[in-house]
Amino acid sequence: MPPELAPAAPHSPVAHQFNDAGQQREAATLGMWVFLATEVLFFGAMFLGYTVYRVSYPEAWVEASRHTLVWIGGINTGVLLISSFIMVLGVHAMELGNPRTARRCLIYTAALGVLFLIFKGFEYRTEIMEGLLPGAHFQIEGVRRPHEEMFFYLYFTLTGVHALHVLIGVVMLGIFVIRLRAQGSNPPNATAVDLLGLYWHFVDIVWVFLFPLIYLVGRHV
Amino acid sequence: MVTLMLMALLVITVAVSFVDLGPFNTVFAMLVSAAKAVLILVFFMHLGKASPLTRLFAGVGFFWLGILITLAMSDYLTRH
Amino acid sequence: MTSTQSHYLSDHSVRSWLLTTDHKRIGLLYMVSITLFFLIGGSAATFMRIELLHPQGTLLTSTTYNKLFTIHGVVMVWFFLIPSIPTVLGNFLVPMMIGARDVAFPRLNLASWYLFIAGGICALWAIVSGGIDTGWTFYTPYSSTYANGHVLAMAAGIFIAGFSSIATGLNFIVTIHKMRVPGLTWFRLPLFIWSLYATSIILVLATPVLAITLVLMSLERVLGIGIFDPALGGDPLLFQHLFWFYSHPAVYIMILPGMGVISEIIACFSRKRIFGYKFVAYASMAIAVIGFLVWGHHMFVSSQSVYAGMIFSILSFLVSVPSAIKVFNWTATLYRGSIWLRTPLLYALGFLGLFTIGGLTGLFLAALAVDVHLTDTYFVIAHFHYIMVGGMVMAYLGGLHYWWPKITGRMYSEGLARFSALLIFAGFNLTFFPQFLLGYLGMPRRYHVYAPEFQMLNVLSTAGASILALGYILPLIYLLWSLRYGAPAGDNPWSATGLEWKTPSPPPTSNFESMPVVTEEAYAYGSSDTTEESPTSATYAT
Repeated sequence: MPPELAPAAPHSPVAHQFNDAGQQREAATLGMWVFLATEVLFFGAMFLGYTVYRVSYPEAWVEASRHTLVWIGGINTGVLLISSFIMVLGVHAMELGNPRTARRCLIYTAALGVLFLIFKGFEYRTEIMEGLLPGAHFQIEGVRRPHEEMFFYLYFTLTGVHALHVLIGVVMLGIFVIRLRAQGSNPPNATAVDLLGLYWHFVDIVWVFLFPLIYLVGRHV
Repeated sequence: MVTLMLMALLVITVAVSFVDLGPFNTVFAMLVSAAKAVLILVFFMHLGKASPLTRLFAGVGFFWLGILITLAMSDYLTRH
Repeated sequence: MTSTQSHYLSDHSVRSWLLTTDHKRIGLLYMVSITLFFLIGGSAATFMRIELLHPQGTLLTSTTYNKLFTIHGVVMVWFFLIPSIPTVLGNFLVPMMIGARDVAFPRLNLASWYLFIAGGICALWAIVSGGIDTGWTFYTPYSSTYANGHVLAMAAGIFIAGFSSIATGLNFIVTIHKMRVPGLTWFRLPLFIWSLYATSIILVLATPVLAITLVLMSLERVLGIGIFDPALGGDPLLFQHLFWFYSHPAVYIMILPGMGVISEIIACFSRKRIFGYKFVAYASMAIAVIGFLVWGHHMFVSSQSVYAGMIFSILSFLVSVPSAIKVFNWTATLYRGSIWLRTPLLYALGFLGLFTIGGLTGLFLAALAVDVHLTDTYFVIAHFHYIMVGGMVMAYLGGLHYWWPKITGRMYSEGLARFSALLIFAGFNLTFFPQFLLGYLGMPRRYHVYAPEFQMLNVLSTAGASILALGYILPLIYLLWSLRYGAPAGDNPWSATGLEWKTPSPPPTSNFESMPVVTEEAYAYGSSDTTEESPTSATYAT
């Protein structure tokens, strides 16, 4: 049966507006999917900007993309994919009534999220030192090229907003890790962990689309 | 399983990007991204086992983004 | 209140209000808040109309005038109209109409009110600090580069309020899907629920685009460069595409809930089922969906591609069809109905006429060639005020009067209420009909200096505005008066169908003692359960 219709794990109190735990779980799941739809549109507006200017300035896009650090981007993609896998294990553990295993999975997921952010920070630092931060000091091979600067403007805003979402995910994971501790009085239930997982996977999906659009534009040239 | 497929797709997309396919480089990269997204949605986010309503909700955001991009590009692609 | 039983208003402590998760109380919190903002937006309009009495613009500087119409637009759109029916009547009624004890996420509901207040405070701060003069549309590069004023604070206020909208929409969607009582299938739902569902889809899908667009515009302002900046090869029109992708659907947020109210009122006060129920329900969804496909009609003269303009023009004609279907169906409902001319129906009748005029003039504007002449003139202003004020605000007032007995347990003075409704109708038409003529004759919008031959029409418009203002102030007085001195309403003073009327007035906190079960269609007027005639007209005539 669809997971949101499955009976909830024990010890999940039913809020007064719901008739039973199943209704509560279904409602919470649907609510999360609605929220994720809003996130698609939130990121999507920037994707429109990217599309408009890539179509308008194709050569500048090729030139600019070659200055991105594809190896870090690629490794970061792998980091997020693996973190999603571990998150799945964590959700599964909760469903099996295994909060201690789940807690460990959430810790590893969060750690990989932090690793992503560290790599991203290193990447930003390198690019800034190379003069790729849009602004008065932007330069590509000594020249302040406007359309390449536009690419990097979109790069920093897109990956910046994404990184913010990763950070929020890491913080949420941290909160859940704390609440799942052995003597914790108010642990999150399986549904809550599942929904956090949905958020985390969504952030992964955004990156999956960002990766080729940022890093792989002109690699073959 | 799924994670291995995702990693494989990642390697493929990077490798292919170094091969000159002309305009199809972009198409291929986007198709690979879409494939990865579908794998994540179906397996990691349980859409494969979810109710039709949930699947509809999952698709709606992407569809609406499609409206935004398509109709806006109808301006940019037909100027002059 | 008069009821000796405890109900949702019984606890009078401040804490019980500020920490409430009861959807009914949250609806009232919103009601007070948006009324405040209505007064602020209305004051701006008052100053504008006074200024427009003279062609030379003698009282205000151009910058001040520009700030006034910006404040009027921003406040009325984001802090009054968009929340209005959804957060006040919607919050109160959605759970009750579907037999639920509350919305799906009551704490999120309270959070949405706090977000609204936080956004409102930012906006108020921007106004008090000197305001902005970009127009409510924030077009770049003026907003992102050249404008002086508190653009960032205002943008922040709208951004925060946007999340309030999203939260409300999300709550309604989940509630309507998952919390209907047994027997309440989709096609037995009141049409008010259908219209709020359609509204919620727009709230949830459109608002995020506005949010990120405001962020990008603000970034450009702060950093001095941005994606709309030609210096980087950017296109100011990209801002307009993104802005209107939200703001056109937003105008459907500002009419669909009103349409839902009208369906409820017309059914009750003609004692008939709504004609073509399914068509009206489908039409609500069609308006929500097609409404996302027409935004380029705000950009016909912006240097957008002519071909895109043609596509948007055709789609804009298409979007009028479901609205027209609704108007036909409401009219057909009234035909041979047992008409009970109470205040809510007066507002509904006003809505029918004024919304139709507003909608038809939209077709003028949707025609590309005609729009070249009419765009940025007072014709556009008249068009959208006919829909937003003649339509939505009248629907809001009608709904307030219809459900006031349920919300408060009191009846208002019917005589004063009817008088106010007529005053509003007369004042509204005197204010805005001359503006159609002004626009057609060429008077541009957003100018306080105009050609002298336009003065007579402007004077008429200002005269109308003063009557309209009086019409709005009266309900404020007699509705408040009724809280203390109004006659007790009883559970169902209108003998209306609908689950909300099967509870005491005011309702208990958890709405229903036992879960209701629904066995019949909506608007089962004329069945054995409801009386044919208006049973309480003798009691409440004043």
